[in-house]
Amino acid sequence: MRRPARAGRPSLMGTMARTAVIAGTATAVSGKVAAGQQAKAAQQQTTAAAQQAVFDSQAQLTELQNQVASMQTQQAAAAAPSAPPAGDLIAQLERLGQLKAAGILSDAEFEAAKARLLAG
Amino acid sequence: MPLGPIELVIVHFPDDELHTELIPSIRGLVESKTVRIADLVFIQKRSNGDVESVELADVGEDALSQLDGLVDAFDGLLSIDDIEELGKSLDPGTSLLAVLFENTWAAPFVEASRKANGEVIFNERIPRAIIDELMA
Repeated sequence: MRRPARAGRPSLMGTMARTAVIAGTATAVSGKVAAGQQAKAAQQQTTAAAQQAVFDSQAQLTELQNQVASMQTQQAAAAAPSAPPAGDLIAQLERLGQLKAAGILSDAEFEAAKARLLAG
Repeated sequence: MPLGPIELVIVHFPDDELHTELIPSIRGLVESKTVRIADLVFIQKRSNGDVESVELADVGEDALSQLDGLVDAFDGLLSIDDIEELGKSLDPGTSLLAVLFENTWAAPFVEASRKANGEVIFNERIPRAIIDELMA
């Protein structure tokens, strides 16, 4: 029986996750595996939920970093710095808050990212 | 007939045994031309945290002989990164079976839709809990 070549090929689930983040749809497969496992102890439940939160936050962090980077590029090219629309700004600040609450961003990183967003 | 819709199904087990008893049911689906297997791998997380993956080719003579000849063009789609990622998400002492299959049964329907200039714009499995609630 033929043995599939696993090494050196692109990640199927990684490609699904990237598409999901762009399209804003469900989180990728491994997140579902972590979330769907039946926990026998409350401890395991907390761990699985925390893993899911971390996975969600990492996807959000990547998306946020991309948005911040592209905002900075736009601002560098402009004659005068322009603030992003207020709605986007609030959503981004909320997301920063979530990442901080999940422990992904430290207090210092949160303050720095917040300052960058507010500086426009 | 062009390739039918491809689906990924992952079955999770609360133990790290190799559940080859699922193979006859898969064989039945393939023999009836309901599906074609695009990929199949067992992933086990041992109690010490080690991750092992078992390929169809390694499953053993009994199970293998049941599926032999049904997966000729077996090239797989899952990468080593996918297997590692799935292994990481498993609790120790648990395992999963990942199957990628072509919904061969749906191919003529999708092809007929396409010929009528239709496009499948939505295709989702409704969670059992929702169906139960609606039918309660």
